[in-house]
Amino acid sequence: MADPLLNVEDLRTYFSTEEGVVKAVDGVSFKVDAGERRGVVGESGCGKSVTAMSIMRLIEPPAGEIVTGKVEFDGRDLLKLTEADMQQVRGGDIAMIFQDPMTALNPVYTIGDQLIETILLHQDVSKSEARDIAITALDDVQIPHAGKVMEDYPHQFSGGMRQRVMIAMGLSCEPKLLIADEPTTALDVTTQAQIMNLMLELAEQRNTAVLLITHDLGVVAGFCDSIQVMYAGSIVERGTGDEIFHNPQHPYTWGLLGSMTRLDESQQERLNSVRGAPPSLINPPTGCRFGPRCDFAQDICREALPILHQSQEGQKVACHRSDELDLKSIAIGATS
Amino acid sequence: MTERESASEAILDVAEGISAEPITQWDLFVTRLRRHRLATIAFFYMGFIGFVALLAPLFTCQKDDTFCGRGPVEMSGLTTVLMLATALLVGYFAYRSFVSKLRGMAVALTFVTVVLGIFLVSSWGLLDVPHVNHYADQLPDESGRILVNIAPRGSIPLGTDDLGRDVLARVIHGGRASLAVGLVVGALVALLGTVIGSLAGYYPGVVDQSLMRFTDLVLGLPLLPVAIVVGRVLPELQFLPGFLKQGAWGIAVLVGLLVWGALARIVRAEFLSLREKEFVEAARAAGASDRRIIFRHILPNALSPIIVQTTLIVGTAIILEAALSFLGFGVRPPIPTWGGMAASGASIAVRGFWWELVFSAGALISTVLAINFIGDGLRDALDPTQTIERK
Repeated sequence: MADPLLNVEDLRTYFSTEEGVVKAVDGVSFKVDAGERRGVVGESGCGKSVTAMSIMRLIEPPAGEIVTGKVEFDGRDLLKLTEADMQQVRGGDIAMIFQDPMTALNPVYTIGDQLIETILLHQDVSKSEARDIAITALDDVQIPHAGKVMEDYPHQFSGGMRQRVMIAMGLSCEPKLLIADEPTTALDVTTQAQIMNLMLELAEQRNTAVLLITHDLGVVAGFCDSIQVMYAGSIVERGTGDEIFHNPQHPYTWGLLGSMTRLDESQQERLNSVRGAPPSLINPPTGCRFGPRCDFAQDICREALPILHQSQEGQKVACHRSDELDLKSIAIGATS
Repeated sequence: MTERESASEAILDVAEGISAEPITQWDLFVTRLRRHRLATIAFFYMGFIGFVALLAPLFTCQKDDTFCGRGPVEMSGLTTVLMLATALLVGYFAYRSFVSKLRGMAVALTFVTVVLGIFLVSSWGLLDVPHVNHYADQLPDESGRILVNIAPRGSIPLGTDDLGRDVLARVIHGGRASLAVGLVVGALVALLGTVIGSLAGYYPGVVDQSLMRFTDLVLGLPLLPVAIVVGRVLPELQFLPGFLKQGAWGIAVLVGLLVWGALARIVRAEFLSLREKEFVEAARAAGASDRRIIFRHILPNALSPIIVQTTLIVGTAIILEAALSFLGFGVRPPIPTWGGMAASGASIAVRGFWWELVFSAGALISTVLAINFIGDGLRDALDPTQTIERK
C-alpha cells in the first residue's frame, strides 16, 4: 500500500500554566490516507482540536509547545519546516475550517477580497484569474449569484452561508487534506445536514482527505470512513464506522454510544451518561486514564497505562480488558 | 422542491431590485456622520479655520509693497468680508467633498494634498523667523500715531492689542501654530501609538512587556513640567535643525512625543482581543504571515478607536501648546499663538481691554470643541454595531 498522506507519530503537545503542565495531547499516533474521511470524536477538552492545531502548527509558544512527535505530510515532516514553508502548507496543502463561521470571516473585507487573498497567497495567478477561481469556488458550494456575492460583507450572510464560504475558501486551493474542526456545531440541524453533504460531495470529487473533528457522533456516523475516539489526550479506540458503532471495544466508546439518542434501537427511558468528569490533564490518574470512570476497571487498570493494540474484533483499542469484555452483550445502564 | 427553489429565486430577485446600488461601508459611515449634526458643523468649522489659517499671509498683508514686510497693515471691511466668504465656501467645500460619494473621495484627497502643500510651504518661512513681526503690524491713525488698545470697530473688527497690533490678524496667524501642533501631534501619535500598541498587543511576552513598561514610563511623566523644561531647553540645543528650535514645530514634536501613550494602550487592548478572534486564526490557517495578519487583518478592525482617539488627542495637544505658550515656554513672542495672546490679553483685560483675551481664547475653545465633536461624530459613525434606521 502507498504511503499515507498524513502520518502522525507520538505527538505530544503540552501547555504550561500556573497550575502545571497540561498534557493536552499525549502520545497520539495515526495515519490518514489520501481521500480518506476520518472522524475524531471525544468529549470537550480531550485534545481533538489541539491535535488539529498541532498538525497545522498553530499552537502558539510560549503558552503551548509541541514537545515531541512527528507529523509527516506527503513525505515531509511538518514540524521541521521553516515558518515560511509552513505558511505555504497552511491553506495550500492543508486547509482548515473552523467551528464558528460567524467569527471566522474578517468583518471589514468583502467575501471576494478574502477568497482572492487566500488564492493569491497560494497560487501563481493574476488577480482577475483569482477572481474567476473564487467565483467558481462559490458556485461549487452552491451559493446563488456568486459573482454578486463577492462584493458582500460577511455580516450580510447567514451562518450556513458563511460556512459555505469557509468551505469554498478551504477548497479553493485544492488542498490534499481538509481539517474541519466542528464545522457544524454552530449551525442549526437542517443546515448541518446540508453543509455536511456538501463537504462530503466536494471532498469526494477532489479526492481530498478529511479530518473531521466533532463531538457529535451522529455526524461522524454518516460521514466518515474511519473513526478515532480520543480521551484525555490520547486515542482510545480506532476503527471503521461499523466497528465503532456496532461493536465498541473500549468502555468509553461504549459509554459514549449509550449516551446518544438512536432511532434504530428500542426506546429507553433515560439516556445513559458516562459518570464522572474528564480527568485533570496536569496530573492524569496512573494506569488507564479512563479507569476512575470505568465500570469494568480492575487492578491492572489502575497500575498500567494500556496501549493501543489490535483487538480480536478488528479495530485498535487501548484497553486491558477489551478481549475479555463483551460490551456488545451488556445492556447499557445495566451496571450502574 | 422546484417550487421552493423558484420561490427563493423570486425573493432574491426582489432583494436585488431593492439594493440595485450596493450600500458600502463608506456610505454607512457618511450617513451616520451626517446625522450627527454637531460633528457636521464641526467639520465645516475646521475647514473654515484651516483655510483662514492657511492663507493668513495673503489676507493680512495686502497693502504692503514688500510681501509680509514691515509696514502699515489695515484690514478693510471689504477684505474681511471677502476673506470670510471665501473661507466659508472652502469650509462648505471641505464638508461636501467629505460626505459625497466616490467622486468626493478623490476631490477630498486632492483638497487635503493641496492644503497640506500650501500649509507646509507657507508656514515654513513664517514660523521660522521669529524676530520680524511681519504679519500683524501696528496700526497708525491718519496722523501717524500708533493706536493701542482700540475696541472692536468697523475697520478693526476685533480691536488692537497693547502694542497696537490688529487682533483679528493675530488670531488668524495664531491659528497656524495651533493647527501645526494639531497636525504634527496627530501624525506622530497615530504613528507611534499604533506601531507600539500593535507590536505589544500582537507579540506577548518580552516585546509586550518592554514596550508597555516604556509606555507606562512616558505616561507617568508629568506632562506640563516636562514640557516646560524641554520647551525651555529646546532653543539651546545646537544639533537641532533651526525649524525645530523656534516656533510651533518643535513644540508640536515635543508634545507628540509625550502624549502617544494613551493611544498605544488602546491599540494594544484592541489587538489583544482581536488576535484571539477566529478570523485571525483562520487567516493563519490559510497561510498568512505575521505582517499580513497585523496590517491586513487586525489593524483595519482596530481603525475606529485609533481614528477617534487620535482626534481627541489632537484637541488635548492644542490645549497643551496653548498652556505652554500662555506660561511663556511654548512658541516665543512675537510669533502669535492663541495661548500667548490669551496670556498678554489677560494682563490687559483687567484694565477693561477684554477683546484680545476673549477672541484668542474663543478661537482656541471653539477649535478644540470642534475637534472633540468631530471625534465624537467619528466614534458614532465608525461603530459597526450601529445600524441606520431607514426612513
